[in-house]
Amino acid sequence: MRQVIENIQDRLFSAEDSVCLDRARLVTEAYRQHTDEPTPIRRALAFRHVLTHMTLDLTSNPVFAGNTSSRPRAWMLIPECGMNVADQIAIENDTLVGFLDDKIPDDLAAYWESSPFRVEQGSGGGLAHFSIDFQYLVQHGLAGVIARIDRAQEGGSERQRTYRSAMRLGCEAVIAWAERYASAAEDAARSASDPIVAACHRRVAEACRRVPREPARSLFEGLQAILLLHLATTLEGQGWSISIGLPDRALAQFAPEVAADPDGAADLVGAFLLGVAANSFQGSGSKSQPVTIGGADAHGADQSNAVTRAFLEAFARVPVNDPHLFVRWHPALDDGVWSEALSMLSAGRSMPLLINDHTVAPGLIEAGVAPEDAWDYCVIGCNELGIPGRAVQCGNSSGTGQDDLAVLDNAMRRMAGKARCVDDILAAYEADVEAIGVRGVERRRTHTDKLADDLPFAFCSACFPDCIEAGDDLLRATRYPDIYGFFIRGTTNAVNALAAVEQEIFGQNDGTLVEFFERLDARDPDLLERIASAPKWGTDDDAADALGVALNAARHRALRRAAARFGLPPFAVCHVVRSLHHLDGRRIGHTADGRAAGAPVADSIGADAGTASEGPTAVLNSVLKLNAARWFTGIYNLNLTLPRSQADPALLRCLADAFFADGGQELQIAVLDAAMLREAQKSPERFRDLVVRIAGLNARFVELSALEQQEVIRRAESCESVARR
Amino acid sequence: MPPSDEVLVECTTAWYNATMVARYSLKVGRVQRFCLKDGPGIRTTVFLQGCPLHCWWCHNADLQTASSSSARTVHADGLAEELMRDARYWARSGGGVTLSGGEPLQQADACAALLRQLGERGVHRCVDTSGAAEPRAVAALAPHTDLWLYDLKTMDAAACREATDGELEPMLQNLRTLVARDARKIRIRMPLIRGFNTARPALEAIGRFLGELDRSLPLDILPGHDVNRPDGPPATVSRAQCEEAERILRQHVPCTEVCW
Repeated sequence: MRQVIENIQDRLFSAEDSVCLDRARLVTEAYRQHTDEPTPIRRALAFRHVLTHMTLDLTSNPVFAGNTSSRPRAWMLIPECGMNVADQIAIENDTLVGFLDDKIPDDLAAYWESSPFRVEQGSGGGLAHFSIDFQYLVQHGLAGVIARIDRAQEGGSERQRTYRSAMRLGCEAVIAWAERYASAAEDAARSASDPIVAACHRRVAEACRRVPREPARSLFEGLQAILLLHLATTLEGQGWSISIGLPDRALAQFAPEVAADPDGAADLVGAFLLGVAANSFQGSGSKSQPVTIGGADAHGADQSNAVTRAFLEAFARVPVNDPHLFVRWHPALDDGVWSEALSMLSAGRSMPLLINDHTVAPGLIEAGVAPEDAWDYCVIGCNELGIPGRAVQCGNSSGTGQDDLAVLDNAMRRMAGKARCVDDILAAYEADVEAIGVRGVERRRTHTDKLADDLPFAFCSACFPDCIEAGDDLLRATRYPDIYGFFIRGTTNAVNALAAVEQEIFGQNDGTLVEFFERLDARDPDLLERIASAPKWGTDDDAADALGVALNAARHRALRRAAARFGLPPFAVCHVVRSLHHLDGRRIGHTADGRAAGAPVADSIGADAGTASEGPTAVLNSVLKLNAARWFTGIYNLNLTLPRSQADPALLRCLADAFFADGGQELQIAVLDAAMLREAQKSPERFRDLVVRIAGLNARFVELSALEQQEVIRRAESCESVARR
Repeated sequence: MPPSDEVLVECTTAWYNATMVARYSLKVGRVQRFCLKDGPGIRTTVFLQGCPLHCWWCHNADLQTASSSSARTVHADGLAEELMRDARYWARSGGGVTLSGGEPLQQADACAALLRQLGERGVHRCVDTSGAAEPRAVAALAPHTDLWLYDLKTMDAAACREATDGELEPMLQNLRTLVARDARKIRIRMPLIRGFNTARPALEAIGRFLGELDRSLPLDILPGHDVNRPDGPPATVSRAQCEEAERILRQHVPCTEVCW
């Protein structure tokens, strides 16, 4: 079995990016064919057309059925949302720049160019940022969903009944798709020369005759059901940030089976992870398919079980960068789970990422989530939060946001002739944030309706029970449709900019802000040297940290007022980065923190690159001064880079336990070795398995762009230099 | 006209206050957080400015001089408060504060005041010292020190004088005093320096001394290195030299380890 898994991995990691036009062609055919149907039905028929005719690939991964394109890393396109290489992907994997040029047939491009049903999403990736209710689906199957739909169909308006019909069509299409796999696997089993592979095919065939239609009866059937359902949501048109939810809870009923054969279970989960990793949307680019495990329930009882440990072990064995793994920490987390998580981090695996239940769940409750739901949260994107089958937080549809540095810089320059103190600048910032929040709600309200009407996702919505009752799309009918994401970046730079003007202008009553910006824009070396010596966020400096607290509190007040105008609960503020810190940086000129125009902003809520001069505890202490549960109900991301010499598991445990016990919210620990990274640049073939944490994603180091590789190496060198002092 | 009593009282009080401030102020070269090799757990290390020794292999040579432009003077009260910032990590790792240098015993009164205050807050306290000081200094710090990291470089008085500018016997005597007081609070640290103490006779002499003093003393061998030492003869030792030293010293003090 281990050899079969290694072969799957080899095939996946050595696959070149290419394009698979199956989905794009089939969707287009169906759209052309069903012009008279209402949009939800038309899209459901298109979904069914794809599942009925797409190529099935049982060769690349014989252990589990499920693929989104004819071969791994052959891009599955979603023409309804645009066909382009997202800017972020281009930064992270520069070999993909221009990748789609000349690969889209003219007739396809022309049809969607003029289609009224095309809803451009920038990234070409649908809405996503949700997790369907895998727990219900594993326990009741799609048959249970269909029964719910049928019960609900007894009432409601024509519009609702139409939408539910589309839901039912989608569910039946997925069941038929699984049957196709079953038949194909039976054929493959007969022709397979390797008896182990033949046995794998027979097991797939048997499982796909049952799941995801019926409840799963074993770990294998549960994993098979989850994989098919996950990939079906992708094929319906959701590109990236589709979550696997909380699989250790969804599969908890099989914990005794896993405990009886933990090694075999970890192998199975490993093959499952490779099946998820082969999801072909964006090819080798990271799609952000998060897996969340561990955590407590509302009563504080630990929810981890043998399945939790199987997932950890599988992630330790199989070096995938996507899906990425989150562990929910709480004081009673199983010690074995916690120890294994810390050992993986210590070994440089860059996973799991850690989240604190005791800060996150109260934050969700603050944002309007009922206490009985809040403890079921999971990560649904890079680090955004959702609740399987209940809450969506979609940057593409419902979100608004800002780069704090850009907003503050604008306020500073506008106030340059008037501001007498930092508070004046913060007041201007606060007013600007409120206006951004208001515009965000207004834009979101019209945009959401357009998306739900023109680009409905009936199958995904069927996996949200409230949507079945409402007979409407998940964007309008989830249990918590009013949680508006507010996505921020550049906060660290903004705090450092405030600290610099406080030191240079207001603290000394020396010069004016106008002169300051004149010299800053002229890159006056004397001024830049003094700015470099100003207090910095992430060094546990009281002066800088007080400004950090003031800035975050100002944003919070502004957004509360903006939400209150519309009678909404508070925005779910999320510090999300991915590679947007480069994109933001390119759009922002010289700023008061000394950053040159075009340079990236900070990659997390921690210290800016090269400024963590007081070491990791000081970074954590600065961040602990933020009221995360109130100000970051959508959570922040904190990247803590450590050299190998400072990454003993016991030490990491002390840092993480202390940080979380005192209110820390999220922690990404990256253990790096600069010499090894440089070696990997020279000999990539020897470091194919090396996964590193960038700003908001995990990536295989050798596949990163030169820009991102250098960023990771600089981070490693910087922390090693501090450790050597 | 002689000064009035009020003026006298005022002047005396001012003088007394100034003297006390000076007495309990520390000259600090730097404070480093998240130190993992200066005692147990996660520690914050206070590197004090000024050392009577001038070991040529010292990788903190900037701290040897009594003053430095980068050093600061800070009262023990204020420093104790500043150091407490990482207490949450000490509590979980069994860590605390280490006074190093420089030579802490050269600022004994202020260091004792600082250690006493930290002790009152339940902080674990280490003192990293060569022992190059008057017995009075050791006596001042001993009640407020949980663990001594005591350097022992050589048993050859002439070599000691030549390499460090220091007299060996007072350092040995201070060590004997501390062992007599409570040997459990002592961890011996021996820098293994190329061309200085790597020869077998030198190691045998150190081993015999420690074995006779107390065979249960833990001994850390600190391999010499040239990091932060751009000038001077190379101090770096080979892995083989470290292992040979460990083997020899273990015959006398079984709890000997190389701190790689």
